[in-house]
Amino acid sequence: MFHPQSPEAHAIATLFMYFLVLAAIIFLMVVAIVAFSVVRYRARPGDTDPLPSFGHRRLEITWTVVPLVLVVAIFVFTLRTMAEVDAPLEPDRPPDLVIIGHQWWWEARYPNGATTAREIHIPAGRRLLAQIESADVIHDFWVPQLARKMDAVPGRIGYIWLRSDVPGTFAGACSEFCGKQHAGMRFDVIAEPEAEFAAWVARQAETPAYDPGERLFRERKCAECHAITPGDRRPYIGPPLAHIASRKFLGGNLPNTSGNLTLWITSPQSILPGNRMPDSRLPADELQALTRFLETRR
Amino acid sequence: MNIQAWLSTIDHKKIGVLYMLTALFFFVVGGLEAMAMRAQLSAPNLKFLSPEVYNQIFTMHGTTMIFLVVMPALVGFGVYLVPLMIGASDMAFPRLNALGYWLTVGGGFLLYVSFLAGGAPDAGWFSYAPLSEKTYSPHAGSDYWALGLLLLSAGSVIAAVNFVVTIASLRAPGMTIRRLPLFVWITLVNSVLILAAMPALNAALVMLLSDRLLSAHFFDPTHGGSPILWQHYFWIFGHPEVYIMVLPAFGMISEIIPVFSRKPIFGYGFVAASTLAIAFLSLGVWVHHMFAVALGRVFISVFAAASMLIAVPTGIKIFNWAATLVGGSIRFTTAMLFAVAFLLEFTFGGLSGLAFAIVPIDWQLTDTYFVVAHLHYVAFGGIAFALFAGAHYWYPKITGRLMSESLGRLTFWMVVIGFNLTFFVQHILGLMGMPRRVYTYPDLPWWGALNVISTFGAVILGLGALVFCCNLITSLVFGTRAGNDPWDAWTLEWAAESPPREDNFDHVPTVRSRRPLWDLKHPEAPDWATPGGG
Amino acid sequence: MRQRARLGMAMFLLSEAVFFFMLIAAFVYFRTQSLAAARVNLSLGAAAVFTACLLASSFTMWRAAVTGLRGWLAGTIGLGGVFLFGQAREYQRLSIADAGWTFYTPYQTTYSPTKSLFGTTFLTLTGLHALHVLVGIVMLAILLGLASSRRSGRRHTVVVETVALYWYFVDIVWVAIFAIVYLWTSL
Ligand code: HEA
Ligand code: HEA
Ligand code: HEC
Ligand code: CUA
Ligand SMILES: [Cu+2]
Repeated sequence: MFHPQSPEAHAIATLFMYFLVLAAIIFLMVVAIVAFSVVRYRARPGDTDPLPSFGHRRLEITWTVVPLVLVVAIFVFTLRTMAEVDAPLEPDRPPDLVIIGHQWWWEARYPNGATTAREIHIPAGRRLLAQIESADVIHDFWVPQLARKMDAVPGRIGYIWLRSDVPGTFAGACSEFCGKQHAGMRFDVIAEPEAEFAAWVARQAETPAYDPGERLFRERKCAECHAITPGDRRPYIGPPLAHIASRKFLGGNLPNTSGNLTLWITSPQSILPGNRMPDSRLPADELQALTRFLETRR
Repeated sequence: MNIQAWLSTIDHKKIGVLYMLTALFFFVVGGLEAMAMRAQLSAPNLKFLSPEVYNQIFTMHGTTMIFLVVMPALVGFGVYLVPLMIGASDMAFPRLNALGYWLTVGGGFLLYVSFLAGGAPDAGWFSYAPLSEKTYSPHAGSDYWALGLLLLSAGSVIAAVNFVVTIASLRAPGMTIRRLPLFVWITLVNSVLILAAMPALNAALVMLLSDRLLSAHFFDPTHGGSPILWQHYFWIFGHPEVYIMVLPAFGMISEIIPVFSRKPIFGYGFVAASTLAIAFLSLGVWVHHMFAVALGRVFISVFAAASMLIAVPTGIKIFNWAATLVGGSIRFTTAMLFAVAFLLEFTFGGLSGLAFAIVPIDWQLTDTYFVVAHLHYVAFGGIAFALFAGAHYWYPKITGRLMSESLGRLTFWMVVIGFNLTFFVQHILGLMGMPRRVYTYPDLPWWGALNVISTFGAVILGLGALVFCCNLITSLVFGTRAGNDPWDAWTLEWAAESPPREDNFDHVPTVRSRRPLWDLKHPEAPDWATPGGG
Repeated sequence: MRQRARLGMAMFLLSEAVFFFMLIAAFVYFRTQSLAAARVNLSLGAAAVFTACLLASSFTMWRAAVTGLRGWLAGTIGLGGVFLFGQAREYQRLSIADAGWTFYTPYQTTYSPTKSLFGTTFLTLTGLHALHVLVGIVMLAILLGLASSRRSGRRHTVVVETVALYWYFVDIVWVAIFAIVYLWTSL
């Protein structure tokens, strides 16, 4: 939140800074009154009880009205910023991308058929309308530097503006408790120059050339949980792997190397305990074949 | 001491003490759970607790602290003090009083046996559906959670009914509604708030149990049910609940600050009336816990406005307490130290709460450590500080002996320092993007450092709490005898013996103002003869 | 004593009122989705008859509180019993009439969502109400027993009056349920 990279995040950060100053003033004022009394009116030996005073109407009115005015001012700023950063509840155009929370990974679907997980690419400088949904429990899509967060509630659709003014990689996290691997549900938003993005999204929509490893992938039941063709949008438990080799990271923020890929296939449970992919005990040659197959999916 | 006499007692003082001891016991349990969490979070990517265990522990920590620590502690103080403060010999319904207590014990028991019965609840203290539904939480933890809370909430409702009737019908002659001690007045308002808010929780729990045990579909979106309905129902209860917890704390502060400032409370009428305003507004702000859901913007704004408005009556209270200090002759006993610290910590927590009422800020910070920081500033810096103050203040009445001041001061400084270390840095963590309820976090710049500071603070805080526990025990034996009125105070409980006899009073002093004992001690200048004082 | 008991009961009923308000609100929240199923399944006529019984029981309750006569107490219990019988028959008829009802058959896999939503809200609401009626009947039965064993005095009258408050409340709640669940549905 400290380094906003979009007008929306920027507006919120600014609002927060204003509030911080106001709150600091109010707090310091209370501190001042208390500190003053503590020093000035500390009981000294021999003191008798002071004269009682029961109240003061004018003072009461002051400290009712002044906060009231402040609060109204805060409210006005709140409304302004809300209108500025929030996408419409029911937009009049189809979304630029659909983001779906799963236990415990994020899926992103693009209009051209591309589907990806964990690494969400966007064109830098363009404002996208992102539609947020959930496939199971409530999640929350949050990229602090880019946009407001939005709950992904099953059976309900939310929209946010997603944009970055500059190219870069921005960390995101699931921000609603969603079960065992809530903590592991982190992701990246990768903003690239428009041309790079266009190339990326086009490639993601294509099916990589057939590779004989696919048979093993199906036989070992991997295909029951993972899609390996981009257009395949049935409700799978696991993330789509059609272009897994083009990703930088695997689950648990493992760099996507062949060693880590093998590691993930054999023991996902020790990397992200409790996630929904079971450990497997495959013979070494099959493991190698699967890894190699996945590495062709770029 | 006769254990049986305690277990079968219907004396409000014994029941009050039982409530408080139960709360203390669970405070230690909940505190140790917190320590386990802080240990796990002290460095990035630790494997001290598995995610399964961590989730159970934070759920139990939150549930325990709210329902088994703060609620019983406040009800306990109320049950003990209200009859004494209004000059009655007991609550209106002594048997019901005992029933309320035992329901609380039963609820606590149900919550904790879940550990033995296949796993504690692990869906968080507000158990959002559908995560808490059978499909996603198949083991029985959430059933125990719902059943335990039903019992606890029944206990609270019973206590509330009893408070209302007691305060309505057992006041000493002359104690009109405008002469009630503020603690009693606030307890009255609070009880009505309990009666209005708790049933929403009961309804939600019954619905959740129907879903889980009878395959109903209230919250199950795959069958047309609505997860948002759970959120509404839970927070219709949940938000008032936070004021239900904090109002009695306000009441204690309103008793303690005047006595040690040697001045009557400033603006009695305003402090009392602002309580009504808070209670009323608190019923209409619940959606501020759901700002991140895609709800209509106008709808959200209404609740944002109401949330902000609460700052006004709360501010009135803060300013009146501060004004009570001004011009006083302040005696810094441990109780007073905690009360003054309360003023500052609570204001801080209130202001961070206000940040969330500013919707766009909530859109960034909801469900981050900023929330954890806010809630502990109001819950620990507010409620727990008031409870510490209250404990030091009323301990002599309850036991007949004073608590050790030197241990008290040690407690105070350790708690203040530990508390702020623990929770201040969590604001920064939240701003840096750390979500709450994560069992571990990646090694990002500063995250590890800030978390270890927080853990370190928690250890100091915990040790401070330990000193407090020791003080409670040792003062029972070594404390100096208190006499009836060690603080030269003004409300009726100090006219009773310490500890009070079975039927409380020999004879109840006449009440002609808000400070009956002042009138008694200062016949030359009684309050009722002073303008504004009667 | 009398004041205290009444005030206590009134406060308790306040919280009960909120409780039923929340359940009724849940019914209304899902109303459009479950309306079709409600139309098919509810029988206004039968419900009206049993509603009348319950209302009549408020009258007998009132007489019992005023006169202290055992007969009126017994009458109230009887009418409450008839009402519960009516509820039970309704539940039974529904579960036979409509195989789509999954409320009591957890592992059934064929369902129609709207119908089961109707079952969800309707059964929870009326079931909890029926539970309250049952509790009332038990309390009245105890009072009747006590009255028979000559332990009646001023204290007894106060208790009867207090229980009467509860009984009126339960009846009023039913009137609301009847209006919202039955009448509104058949509009
Ligand atoms: C113990 C009680 C307690 C109290 C008293 C409060 C007080 C307030 N709380 Fe807090 N709150 C909690 C306990 C409490 N809260 C808990 C437990 C949660 C987390 C629940 C969970 O998710 O687990 C929470 C969460 C929470 C949220 C949701 C955050 C989120 O999850 O996204 C919000 C949002 O609006 C909020 C707002 C407020 C406000 C506006 C107040 C106000 O009442 C504060 C008013 C006080 C002041 C403002 C300071 C004093 C005033 C002055 C000095 C006057 C001058 C001031 C001005 C003019 C500004 N709280
Ligand atoms: C009144 C309420 C209350 C109180 C008093 C506390 C007290 C503490 N809380 Fe609590 N907390 C909540 C209410 C409260 N909490 C709630 C509602 C949540 C949200 C739960 C949820 O998300 O569902 C929460 C969540 C929460 C989290 C976030 C978990 C997460 O989101 O992942 C953390 C993390 O640091 C935390 C820490 C602490 C600590 C260190 C204390 C300390 O103050 C505790 C100090 C006390 C002791 C330690 C006990 C006494 C000590 C002894 C008898 C001696 C032994 C001591 C040692 C060995 C050191 N709490
Ligand atoms: C029961 C379902 C299931 C089966 C079977 C399964 N997976 Fe997975 N897989 C998942 C899930 C769920 C995830 C995402 C884990 C998470 O992050 O929570 C995943 C993640 C992965 C990833 C990392 C992708 C990423 O987004 O980082 C790879 C690679 C992978 N699986 C390969 C395989 C292979 C190869 C097989 C067959 C041997 C297999 N999976 C079998 C469910 C399954
Ligand atoms: Cu998904 Cu938390
Ligand atoms: Cu709230």
